[in-house]
Amino acid sequence: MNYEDQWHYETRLDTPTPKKRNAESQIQQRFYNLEQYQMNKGAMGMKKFLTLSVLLGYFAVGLTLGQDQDGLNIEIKPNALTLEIGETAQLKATIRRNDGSTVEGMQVLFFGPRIDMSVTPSGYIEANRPGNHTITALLPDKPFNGVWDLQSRLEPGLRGEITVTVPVPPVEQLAFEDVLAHMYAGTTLPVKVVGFDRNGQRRGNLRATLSVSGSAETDGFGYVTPLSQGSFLLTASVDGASVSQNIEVRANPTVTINLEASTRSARTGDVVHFSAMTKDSSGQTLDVPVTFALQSWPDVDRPESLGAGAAAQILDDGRFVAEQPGIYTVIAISGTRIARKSVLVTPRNVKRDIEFLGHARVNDRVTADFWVWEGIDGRDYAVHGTWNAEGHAYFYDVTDPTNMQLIDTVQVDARTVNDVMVSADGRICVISREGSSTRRNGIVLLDVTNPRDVRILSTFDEQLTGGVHNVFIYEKHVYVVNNGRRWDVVNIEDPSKPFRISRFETDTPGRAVHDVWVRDGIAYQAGRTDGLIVVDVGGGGFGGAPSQPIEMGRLQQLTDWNHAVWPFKSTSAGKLYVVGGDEAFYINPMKPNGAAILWEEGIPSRAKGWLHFVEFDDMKNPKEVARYQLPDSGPHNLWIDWEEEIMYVAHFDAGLRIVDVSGELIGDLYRQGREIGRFYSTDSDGFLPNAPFAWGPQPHKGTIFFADFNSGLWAIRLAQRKESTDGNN
Amino acid sequence: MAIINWLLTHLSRIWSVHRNRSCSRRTHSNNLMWARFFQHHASRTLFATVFLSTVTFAQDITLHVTPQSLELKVGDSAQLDAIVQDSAGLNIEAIVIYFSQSPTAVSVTPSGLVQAHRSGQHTLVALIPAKPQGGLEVVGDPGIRVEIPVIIAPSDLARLEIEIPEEIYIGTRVAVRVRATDINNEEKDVRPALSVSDPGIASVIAYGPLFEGTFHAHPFYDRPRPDLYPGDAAGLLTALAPGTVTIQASTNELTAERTIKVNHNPVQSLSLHASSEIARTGDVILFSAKGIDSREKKVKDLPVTFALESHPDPSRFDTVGAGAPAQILPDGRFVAEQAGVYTALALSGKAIAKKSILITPRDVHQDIELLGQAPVRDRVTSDLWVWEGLDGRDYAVVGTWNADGHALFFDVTEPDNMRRISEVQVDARTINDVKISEDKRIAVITREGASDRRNGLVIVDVSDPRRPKILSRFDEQLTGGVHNVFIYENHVYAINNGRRWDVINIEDPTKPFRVSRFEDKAPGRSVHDVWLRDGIAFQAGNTDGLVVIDVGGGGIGGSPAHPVEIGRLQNLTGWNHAVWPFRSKSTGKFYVVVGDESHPNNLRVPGPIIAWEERMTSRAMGWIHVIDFDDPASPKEVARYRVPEAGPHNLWIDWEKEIMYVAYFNAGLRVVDLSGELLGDLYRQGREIAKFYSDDTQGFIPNSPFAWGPQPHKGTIFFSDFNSGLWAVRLVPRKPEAKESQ
Repeated sequence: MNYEDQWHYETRLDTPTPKKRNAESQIQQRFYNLEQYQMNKGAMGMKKFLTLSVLLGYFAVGLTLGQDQDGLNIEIKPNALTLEIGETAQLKATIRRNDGSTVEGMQVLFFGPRIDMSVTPSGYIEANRPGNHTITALLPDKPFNGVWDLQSRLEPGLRGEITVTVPVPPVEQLAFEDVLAHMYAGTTLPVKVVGFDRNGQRRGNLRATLSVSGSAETDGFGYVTPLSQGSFLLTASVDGASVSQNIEVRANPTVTINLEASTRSARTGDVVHFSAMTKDSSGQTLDVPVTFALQSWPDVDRPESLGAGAAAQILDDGRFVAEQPGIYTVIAISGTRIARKSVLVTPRNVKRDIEFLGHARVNDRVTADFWVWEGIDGRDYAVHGTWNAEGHAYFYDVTDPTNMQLIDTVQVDARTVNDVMVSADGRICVISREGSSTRRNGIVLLDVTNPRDVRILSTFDEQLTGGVHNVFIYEKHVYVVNNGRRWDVVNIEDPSKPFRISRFETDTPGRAVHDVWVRDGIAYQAGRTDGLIVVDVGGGGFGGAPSQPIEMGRLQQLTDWNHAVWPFKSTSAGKLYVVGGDEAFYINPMKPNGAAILWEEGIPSRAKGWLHFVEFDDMKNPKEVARYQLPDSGPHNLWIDWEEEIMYVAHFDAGLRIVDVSGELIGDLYRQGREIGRFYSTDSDGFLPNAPFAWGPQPHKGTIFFADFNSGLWAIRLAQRKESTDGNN
Repeated sequence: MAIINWLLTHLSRIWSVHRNRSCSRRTHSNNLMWARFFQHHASRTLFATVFLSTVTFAQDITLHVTPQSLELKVGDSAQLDAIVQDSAGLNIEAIVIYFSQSPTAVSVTPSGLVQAHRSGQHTLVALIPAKPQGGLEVVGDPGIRVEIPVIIAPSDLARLEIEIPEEIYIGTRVAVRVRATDINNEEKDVRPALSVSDPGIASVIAYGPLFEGTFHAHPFYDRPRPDLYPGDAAGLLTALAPGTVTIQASTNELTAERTIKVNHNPVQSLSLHASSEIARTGDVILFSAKGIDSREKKVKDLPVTFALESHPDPSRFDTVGAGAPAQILPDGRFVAEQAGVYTALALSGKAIAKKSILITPRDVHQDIELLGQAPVRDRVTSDLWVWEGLDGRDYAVVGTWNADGHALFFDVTEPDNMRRISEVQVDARTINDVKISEDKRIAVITREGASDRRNGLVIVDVSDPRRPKILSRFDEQLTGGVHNVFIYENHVYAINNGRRWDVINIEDPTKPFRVSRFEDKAPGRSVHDVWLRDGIAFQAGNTDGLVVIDVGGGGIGGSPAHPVEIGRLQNLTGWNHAVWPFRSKSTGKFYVVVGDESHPNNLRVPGPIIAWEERMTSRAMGWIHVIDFDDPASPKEVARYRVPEAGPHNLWIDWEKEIMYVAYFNAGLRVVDLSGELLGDLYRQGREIAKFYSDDTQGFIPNSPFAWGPQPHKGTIFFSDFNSGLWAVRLVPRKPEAKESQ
């Protein structure tokens, strides 16, 4: 039994089991800790969400429950602990009666936040990340049955807890990042420093205190401006560590700045490229740095402009994008020289009406992911899983989207069939199992050549016992996410005899992978701790193969809530984006200790988070450049049509969203008027009535199908675009 | 042309739900489409009370209206005639009433006399009402209706005038305003093409055509733009070199020219000052520039523009890829939505000055705690009022909506154990508004949908809230239905029929009498709400926007008996609903906060509605407008609070704490920090303190928060929800360690 494996079971945010609310709270708590950590990294030291993190979670409650009705209490030693990152400790739990006498022979289980701390059931802990972490010791009411897994840690029982403080290690070494040996008088440059703590851990985004000696000035916010020719000494310090560099200052020879815009007229959301060239008196092009500033003149005639806040942005590299129509002037500055260029921005105007086609209601249980495919008989079929029920997958004939028919169901030994997928040839369906009675989860292969009579071909659960949450079929292989920790590649050339050929797993402490998606021989992995990872499995040119996955690049995302992933090769922008979706939920004040998804309580759940657009053209240096953030909601699964450059997002409580992702992407796509349409899957007869909870979308032959947790399968269509209804033609 | 295109598209959408544009033949039972309560758009009706006599709806009835459509010019009038026939084709008697879907553009009397006010394509409706309701509610009446398209030709422009300073400096930029008037001497919105005679001396850029479109073009809106939304500037002119230059503005009909002089810029050097160098998101910073000329003298009337370099904090996930982070206005006011370093630039000719500031997160979030719910689930509830009774206990009264005319009274002394203690029933379907007098003795409740068509208001003795007693009723000239009331110093301000408000003296609550009336004269006028504070009345309405009236405290001679208008701001979204004054003690500014109310189309129930009868979740739209009213002659919309994909209803502002509570319909209750100067979108600035979704699985419509009205009282925030009754929540005080460290 791999204990570690089991501890990581709870990473699957969208599968809280009936008794899982405690673990969910803990996960929420960790989010807030992370947020705090992010802030602590900066010198501003905000402790914004500390209140929440203190109030949240079962474990705060657990503290007060340290004594149970039988007069037993649990004592943990040490009762508080401070560990540096990488330090370990052994905790010991003692069970005492009220009279102080100890009870021997009781087996206590330890657990804690899985990413910030590594915790074994026997209480051996290791600090991974800074913060205040809670470790819980549990004496279950029911005797230990030998299987320590997620269920075990949620069993009722006597609980005690301690807080382990892991301080942010001070910076010991400091170095300048990108500071030039020479600068030009009158130009302003940001000074970035990178620090290393005693563990050699890199600490970026430090706010150093700058000082200068010589003819230069700093503004107190990390920028330095040399004033006259000569040299000056630049010193940056953080936490007592400091670094200095002598910088030569040359006279600024710039006489003119040529500022060019890639277009003079654009729509909201269109990226305009400004480029500035500095020239001296003889017309010679110079390498003098230029900064950009922006004057915004939003169109006050439009209701979306007045009092509406910031209207547009320009990046340091000259890329500009507007959220509101209007006139914008970009100013390039070098020393005392400036150049201006204006651009007119008109409304994007992409909205289309949506037509409702059909609904195949499922309301006696909640549904999970789905897949639509053309069967080998030329008709169209759909399959979806069910969640926390009796292990069913439902099959439909969806040839007529206005009249979708349930045609077969398959039941396997599982509570949850979270993911389903059908092979490209329309013959094999793979479904995932979680919560099986035998604790042997894994995957099940189905023959769907006749979707009206689906047959089980085989099961594969060897080393996949921790629960399979997501699968992907690509060229006779199934990519199987096991236990939220790794994915295995399983050969299904003979679907009756699947066998494993390789595995991909990072070595991040508390690593978490949630989803894997494969296209053109490249696997895209999303997970909370590792963010987005791109892996060559045959098409990446890095020598990878299904039998030998090779990492090509990765981006650790700031939110740490990564869930879904989709590659998007944009023809119109000539860029490869990897789109990572968050999954996270608000804590409902009605059930502050409740699960992330309050499905059992019958309370609608509200999500948070957004979709991250990461430019992955340079695998070594991926950059998060844009997002689609629907305020007060959060996304689940997505689908991007590369041809149409349209993104479909199942946006949980905000229903289905259809978004124009054409052109280069910068900034918040939501605020740029790129939403084409939306549909709320409100169903008054749903599992939870009137609670849209869109789970996953898939466009198929002009129809947009999507599954909703509370109400089953839906089919809608985009109406043909009418002639422009805006006044800007 | 754009307006015509749009109107054609939009109206065809409306018409598509009708089977026949000029002739309607339907049976009542099939007609649920229109069975909606439409009170909030009542401003679109324009007729007097009508009584339905003996039309039998079981049989097929056909309504013919002539002419079937109208083409008019501004100022024209026309007469509509109706014939009603039974299934055998025989003419029968029936009441036919008329109303306009855009009464500010085309109005119609109950007897069918049409008057054209503004150009465009509009719709009149003839209706045989099905419900004996009349009043405000005919728009949603399920009766038999016919739509009459009306095209009003634009009147010819008579004059075009360019407004621009006569002399400007090189390197500066000014707005080019173009005033246009038509042959009736009425001001028109135009967006002419702009050009200059010498692009070497000045360049010009125009905004392009006037926004005549529909909000539909933008994902946040799918309603028509308001009737009046005048443009401010037609474009911008930048001076490049000394000399004279002629600016030309031309429409299809007219051309205007103006010659201006471009002078050398006297500014040799600039300095820039920031009112603060460190601030939080949402804090307004004022940048001011000083210019020095070649003789080291300060330049008067400094020609300066501001620009902004933004460097949002890259370590925060609320900034990476998050869109536009901050703004600076031409007058130097700056506000950020994201934390980071920002550098303002002042530019004047060749002179340039820079100043950087640091913005930190606002960090005002507080947890919110549910204290209790007093559910009302068998009917929908409306407005509320909470007060401390004469006995020192706390009470609340809530109206009910489209039911049996009840006002419900609760003892809310213990918010976690609120008890219904009594009720008052009056002859009405809807009690929309309830208010309690300052002396805690009198409640005034409004009546709509009374069986005898005498709506008005009812005065109730609540000195013992367990035994409320009806003292009197007042309905004289208030028969159209009273939607909102306010009690202030022994007078009731009662809104009648969405058209005007009357001031009623209740010094003797058993003998109320009218003392005055305030009514706007604009065609299609509409007023939705009136609120009083310090002797000033604040009125919100769709077409009139915000109007501020002296009724005794405004210092311009007004009194309850003689209301005098102080100022107004008309150019809001056109959906104005609720209004609250806010004197900000932290800035000394006087704001008036106006809420929209609007409901978008539901794909499955066409028409902008609250789909309460269909038991469908409704989603609202619109936002809260913040108007700077320091200068009543020139009020300005400076900020908004907009929760995307939801819309607000009623609000309450605590002047002491500078906190706004908004019942935000489908987005639940919102608590917002209003401290400091207000600029930009407060939602995006992290000013939200807390939110609470009033989900109720057992609600009238389950799981559909539809927060109606909030009121803070003794540390508890009470609010009513349309679908689930009365709620009590509380902000959890922040722990000391959670405070921002400096």
